[in-house]
Amino acid sequence: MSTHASSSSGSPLLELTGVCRSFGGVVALQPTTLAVVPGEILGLVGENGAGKSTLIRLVSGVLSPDHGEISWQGRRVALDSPRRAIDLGIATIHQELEYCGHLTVAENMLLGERWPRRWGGRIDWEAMRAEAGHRLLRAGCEVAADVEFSRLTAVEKQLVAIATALARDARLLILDEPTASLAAPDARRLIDHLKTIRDSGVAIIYVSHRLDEVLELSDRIAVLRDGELVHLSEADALDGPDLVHEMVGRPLQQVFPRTRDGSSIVDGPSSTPGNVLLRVENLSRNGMFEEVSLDVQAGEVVGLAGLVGAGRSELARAIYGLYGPDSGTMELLGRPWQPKSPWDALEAGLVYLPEERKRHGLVADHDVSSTLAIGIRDRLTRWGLVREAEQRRRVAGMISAYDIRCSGPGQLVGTLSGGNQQKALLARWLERDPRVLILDEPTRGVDVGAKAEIHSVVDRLAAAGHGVLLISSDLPEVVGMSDRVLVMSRGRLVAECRGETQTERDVLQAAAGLSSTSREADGC
Amino acid sequence: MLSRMTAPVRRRMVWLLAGNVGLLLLIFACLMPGDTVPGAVSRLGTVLVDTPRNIAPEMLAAIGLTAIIWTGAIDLSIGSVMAVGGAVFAMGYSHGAPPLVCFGSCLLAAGGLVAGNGLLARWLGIPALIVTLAGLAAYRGLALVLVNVGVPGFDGNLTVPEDIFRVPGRDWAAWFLLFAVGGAVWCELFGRLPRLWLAHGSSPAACRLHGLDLSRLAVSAFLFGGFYLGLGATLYVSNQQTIDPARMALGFELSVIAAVVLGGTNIFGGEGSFLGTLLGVVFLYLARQALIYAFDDPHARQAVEGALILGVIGFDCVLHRTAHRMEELK
Repeated sequence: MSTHASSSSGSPLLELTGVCRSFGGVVALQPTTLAVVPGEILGLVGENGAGKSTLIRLVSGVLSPDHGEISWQGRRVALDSPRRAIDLGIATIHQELEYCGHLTVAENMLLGERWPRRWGGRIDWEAMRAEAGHRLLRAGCEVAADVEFSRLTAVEKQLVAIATALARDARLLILDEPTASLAAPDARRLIDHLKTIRDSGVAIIYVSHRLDEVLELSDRIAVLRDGELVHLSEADALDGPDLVHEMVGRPLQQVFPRTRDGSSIVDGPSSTPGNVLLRVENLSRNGMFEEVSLDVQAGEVVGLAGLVGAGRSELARAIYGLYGPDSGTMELLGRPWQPKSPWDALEAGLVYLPEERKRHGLVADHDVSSTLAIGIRDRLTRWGLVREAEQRRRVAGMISAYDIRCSGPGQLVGTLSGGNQQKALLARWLERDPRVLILDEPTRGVDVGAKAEIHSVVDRLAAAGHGVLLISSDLPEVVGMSDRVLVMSRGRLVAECRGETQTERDVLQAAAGLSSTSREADGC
Repeated sequence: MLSRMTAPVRRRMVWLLAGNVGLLLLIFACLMPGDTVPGAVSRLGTVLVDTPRNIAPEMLAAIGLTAIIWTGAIDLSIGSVMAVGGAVFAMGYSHGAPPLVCFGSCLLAAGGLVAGNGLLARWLGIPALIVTLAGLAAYRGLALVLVNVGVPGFDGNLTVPEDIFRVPGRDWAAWFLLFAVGGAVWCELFGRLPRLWLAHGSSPAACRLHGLDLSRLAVSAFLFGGFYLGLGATLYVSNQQTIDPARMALGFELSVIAAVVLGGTNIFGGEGSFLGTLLGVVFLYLARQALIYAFDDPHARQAVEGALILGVIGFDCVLHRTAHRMEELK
């Protein structure tokens, strides 16, 4: 919980009075009254589709309200464009940062401003770098201003975005899932940074599905459910279960529903070839991972933890056949495994759920039907033609079985909530009845209800004898869901945690290189 | 400037520099048989002296197109635009207009059409690719209509025998080239607009969120491109003794796009350099010269030229794609 003295008694910086917004007759945000005061962090939580994005877009000038008033420092304002919001001092940092990757950090920071010039109208690049460097320094961000932006790490990009906003005299920062793609230490660094910013008098609206962060960071918490503001209170008055209850409208018992007690793992030592679905021996790829050995047994969920850049996703992609290893061997279902392409993996019963849903998993312009059917397209075609009736039947079955909430198979998948998009991706691969699943950050950016459903699916799969390699930066998830956790650091497997010592602390220590680097059978 | 270029663009420029030196050596080697060393050097000097005049139209058009491509747009109609420039020039000439008027009207017509393409694409909300693809046919037709209607007794082509009408393209081409290329490089070195064009091509959403006016940016790139293409058209037309709008600058756009892409500009925008384009145009020109000595058959030369472009760009793209993929995966 935050120990920061809330200044909610001060005069509001931003005030929404009865603000509401509908899209084509569907109410996205019911009349909402909410205020933010200087120097406070307002946590904004809710399930996907609860109205958080609509609220953010209204405040950042992307959308205009149908009714209601928005006041800024006591004066009614019309936030009719992002430029207007920026000019007032409202800066929004979206979950997926928009930046010009080929330009330098300095150019990105000063993109919409006047650039310093010398005589003859020449741009003074030196002054520009110095100005950007000064802004970065003032915001406590240690990033070189003349580096190409695309070369920054995820947390550095976030920090630069915040530094950019603060340099424009932002009085209100809106952060949408800023830690979604960050590993725990980077997220911690960002959170500490936000506390400093809050203490300097800047107000922050913090949107996140990571409730522990929201509880720690926020002075007050607002909960949206089905477009309605259902709860607003001091953060100290809430705990995790309360918050979840407010968000979903019911108590959520099983966040990590492990029905397995290890008995679902097919008996026998892991070295017995018949029980091992996937085996990797001394797999290396230059610059990505080195000498990695692991196995996944039938009925087992193996967690793969580590910091961002540890090589987990790179390893997963090599196993899936996106690129080949430089050395080492792999076995899938007891046979040597040398995939030439992901198609080989799909045919062999191995599927991979990618880390970045929108970039690598979905075609946003496709409808739900074709998104689901693409996973089994080889089984739906005869003589090169799609069997439409069969496709409709299978798609309807998947929508129902995986509780994909959509208006119908024709709805564009890009318009679904994050949780439902993820469920659609899972369904698409599960329909192939794979033996081994590699799930890379399966619940990133997914609300708490959908998260529980995805966890439940993973648990059922393992109980049915499938093997799951679960990659996650969410420590409670990877520890709570896995039978054992392998930890990677700098491209190497450095620890295996299981049993009593499978705790978040142990995993984090190993990932950060703080524990013994030898792999032990019963602990880290 | 180099520090602000992306690694692939810098790498491509190094490739092209090495390639240009290699081609010069190859041309020299081709000139050597049957000649003395001083003789071969002298003939190589002639090739080099003629270079600015020969590459000026393509170079200027390439610089203009580079700016347009940076924003994520493209102009496929520049060959036909050249033909319209030629038609307007022919109209002026046939009606006894003084040379300056002919040059000016050619520049305005060609530049105006390119700038108009940008405005049309923006105002109608149609991709520039579509607008200019339509322009490819429409402007060629317009050129033919103009000469048929506006040039008395036009019978397929118009000969311009007076030297005065060929001064810009033949005698002053090197100077035009020097100032125009110098201006473009100065803009790239010290100007804000080229960086904003690159930003537009890199991420329109980021530009919008920073309060930049995307329409204004795109139109400014087409205006810049229009000026350079207009100038290129004027040099091209005034370097011809015969104006034949039906065949004038046929396939010119492909050659210019090849030079731009060869120079390291990303065809989808957001990345590139005028200097790279400059090297790309020179590379293509020298390659053509080398092929003249290597192959007698013009069709074989064309085929080899195409294969060479494909080979250089393809090889670099493989390197680029691999590096990009690795970067993305990390």
